[in-house]
Amino acid sequence: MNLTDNDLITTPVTLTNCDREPIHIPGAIQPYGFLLCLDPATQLIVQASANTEALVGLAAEDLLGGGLGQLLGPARLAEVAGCLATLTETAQLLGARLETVAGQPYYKLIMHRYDELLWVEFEPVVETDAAPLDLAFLNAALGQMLAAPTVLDFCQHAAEQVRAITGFDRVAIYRFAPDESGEIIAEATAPDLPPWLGLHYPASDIPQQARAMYLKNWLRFIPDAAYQPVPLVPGLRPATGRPPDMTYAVLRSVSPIHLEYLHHMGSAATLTISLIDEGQLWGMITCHHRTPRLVGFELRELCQFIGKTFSALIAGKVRADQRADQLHVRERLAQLLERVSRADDFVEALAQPGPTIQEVFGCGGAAVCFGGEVQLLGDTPTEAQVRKLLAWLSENAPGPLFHTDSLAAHYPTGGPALRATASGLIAAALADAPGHYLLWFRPEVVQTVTWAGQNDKPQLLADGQIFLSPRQSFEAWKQLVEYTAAPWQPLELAAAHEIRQHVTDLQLKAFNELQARTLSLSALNTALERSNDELDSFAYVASHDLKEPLRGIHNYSLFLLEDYAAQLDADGVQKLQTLVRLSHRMEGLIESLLQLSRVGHTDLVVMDVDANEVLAEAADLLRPRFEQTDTQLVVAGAPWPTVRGDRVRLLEVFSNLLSNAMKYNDRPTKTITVGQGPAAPGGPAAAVDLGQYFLFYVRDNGIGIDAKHHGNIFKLFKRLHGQEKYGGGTGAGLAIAKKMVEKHGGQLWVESALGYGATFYFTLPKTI
Amino acid sequence: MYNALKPVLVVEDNAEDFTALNRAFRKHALQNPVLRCEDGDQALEYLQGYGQAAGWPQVLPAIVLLDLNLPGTDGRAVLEMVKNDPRLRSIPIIVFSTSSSASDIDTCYQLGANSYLTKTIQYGAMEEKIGVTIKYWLRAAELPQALQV
Repeated sequence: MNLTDNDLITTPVTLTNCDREPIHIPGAIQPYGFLLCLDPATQLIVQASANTEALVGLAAEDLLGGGLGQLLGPARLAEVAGCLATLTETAQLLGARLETVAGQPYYKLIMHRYDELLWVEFEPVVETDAAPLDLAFLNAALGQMLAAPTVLDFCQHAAEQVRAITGFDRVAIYRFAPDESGEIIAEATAPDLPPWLGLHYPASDIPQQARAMYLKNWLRFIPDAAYQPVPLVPGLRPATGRPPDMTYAVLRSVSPIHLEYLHHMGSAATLTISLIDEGQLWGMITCHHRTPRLVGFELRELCQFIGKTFSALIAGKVRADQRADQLHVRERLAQLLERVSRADDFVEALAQPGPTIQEVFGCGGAAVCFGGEVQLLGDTPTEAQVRKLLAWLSENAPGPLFHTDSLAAHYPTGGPALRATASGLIAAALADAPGHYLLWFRPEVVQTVTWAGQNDKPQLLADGQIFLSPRQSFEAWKQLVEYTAAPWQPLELAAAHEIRQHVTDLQLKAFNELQARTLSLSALNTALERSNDELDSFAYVASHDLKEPLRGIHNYSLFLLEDYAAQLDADGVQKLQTLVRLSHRMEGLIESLLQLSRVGHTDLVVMDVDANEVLAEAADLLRPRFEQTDTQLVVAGAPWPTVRGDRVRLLEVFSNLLSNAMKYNDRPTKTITVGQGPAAPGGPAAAVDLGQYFLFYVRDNGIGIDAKHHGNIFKLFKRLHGQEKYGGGTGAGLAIAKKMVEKHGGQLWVESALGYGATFYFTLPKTI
Repeated sequence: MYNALKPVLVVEDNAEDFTALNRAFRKHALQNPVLRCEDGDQALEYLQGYGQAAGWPQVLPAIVLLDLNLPGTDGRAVLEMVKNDPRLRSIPIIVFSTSSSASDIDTCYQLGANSYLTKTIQYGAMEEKIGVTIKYWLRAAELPQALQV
């Protein structure tokens, strides 16, 4: 429906159509003064308010067609006429005694030119008109406003000054949000009034056309909200056939809806001043009084001056606030990034205080979701809800940074349930892997609003109908902003973006390092494989290509001995025998080498092994030699546990250690103690963690080993004694045994002093 | 003793090892003729082409003593081909190798070797192994009736 202003004049105004109410052409004024509209060309009265007779005893109809001379004496008239000639939209004030009117009352003439009319409004003089322009006061007021460090302080000062000037019961400063809803951010009140601080109200409380008018005319004044509107005579301007545009008229009658609203507020008088920042309605200073209150024009002008000063300064204060915020965010961002860069585990560092990602900018909570882990910080949905959200994000939020101040609108299946903690969301995707996100949550804005009157019961009319009041406005606003969080500021989004960028850079760096490590590892592996292969091929060559000629030498020496011994002297025979012995020994060396290479690259066959059985088997194999050499075997710590390992190799280790213990002993009675469990304090064995490892030992009372050889004895083919001594051997046994233990993840070492026997220890991990 | 007339095939590249083997055969009075192939290709030529191969006996061997480490086609390949040849697979093949590695031993049995002996450096031990082998394969065991041309 498209209605013209004229249609609307005759239509009753309701809450639903008040957005279209033509408030600039009410065709009526408030009755505390009277209005005369003059033709600019003739300066003759073309319209007058119907209350002229009541106020000055002259009927409106009688004034029409005449000049201001009907009210003013000649001297004043000339002055006013001069003023009228130069009028613009900006009001001019002249005080005048109405000399031709009975009682010669004193009135203020407020004059402006608009809509092809000269407007002359007559306001009575008020008792509160004290010295209006107190420069010292203004100076102090401006000084305070200039010095205010934050927007809120600034608003508070402004509210207090306006209250000081006007004496209104309540002076509140409203700020408009981008969605045009309003919020009371500062107020100064009489001590006995309930505070409204923190109240929000919906955009619809101030209709669009009112906002448009507030941008043109900075000040609206209603000294008595219970007034009866006074019509113009005639209602339509004869020259145009429509009501005149009263945008700049101070006596303009306001919307009946607005009056009703004021009535419900308990407000009998109001004054509102626009706060305008760069052509936008930033907010309003609103004054309310519980009883009618007439404020003189000069004081209203002073309030308007404060409003304009406020308007001029507010942008700077907002910028200062933003700069302070920005600085704060930047500082914390820098601290976080610096800490994260230095951390070994940057993902962990994101959730550690000093600050966490949640503390960089204002948000209710945050979550670090990485590698299947979800770390929650502050007020967040539950972990299960966050995991569901991650799944949804992976499907529905492409791009590096997703943000919303109403998650429910995007995510209808899960969003509504998260309203309390996550109506607002920033999701920064970290890696290509799904589910790697940094999340910032913001609660539903309603949950964050507190105001002093929030425990009041909404007032009801007797018949149960809810009427408009600040509290009802607040309830209405709450309905409108359900599921919505405070919007994310560009600065906050930039910080989130920067954190994401930093972390992905670190990830890339870590990935590159990992790649480099992988490469060097694979190079190492290749080298290892090659050396393994080389050892293998050497071992293979050794076993075949070396053994073959060796066998030939050995066999032919034998054949010589068998077939030609008769033709050789003893020396020749002995030389041949040496040849046989040496070739045999060499084969032993080659065989040991082969064995050692096999330990290295053959996988263990790990199973549960009863250590008692292994020991018994090793002892059985060696029994004949123990008997020959008079060796006693003592078992300690029995029964032994079941261990995890390769049975065959463990048997080899025990056999090797036991036969060494028997061989390197020149005492008449040789004793070998083989045991399991904790070692005597003092040596390295005492430090073994028996929770993680089994500890075995083989102790003899033999010749012992000098400490300087403790490392050497494990070297391949390293012998400490001549070949003929202590039963010979290739010197590979201990090297092989050590390698076998290490292959199991254990260690083998010796504790001994020359002449005092030796104890060989080895450990086996309890879990392989 | 029909078996006694069948040759024993020795696939052995190393002359000294072959000499030692022959010494052991003599020691144990082996009656069968001994044939020697110096490499895998020769052995396959004889076995796969028996009856046509010029200069080779017209009969298949009673048993084969096979060295693994051969120049050219190695012993494992010979073993695999023989055991995959329906006409030849019944001939017992005794691997006689220097290698004592478990993987070599497993591989050979997987391929169908009938026995695996390691060559030791000590001649005495080797002589004994040969004795046991001859006694078992040529005297104790029943051998399949090989194809006659």
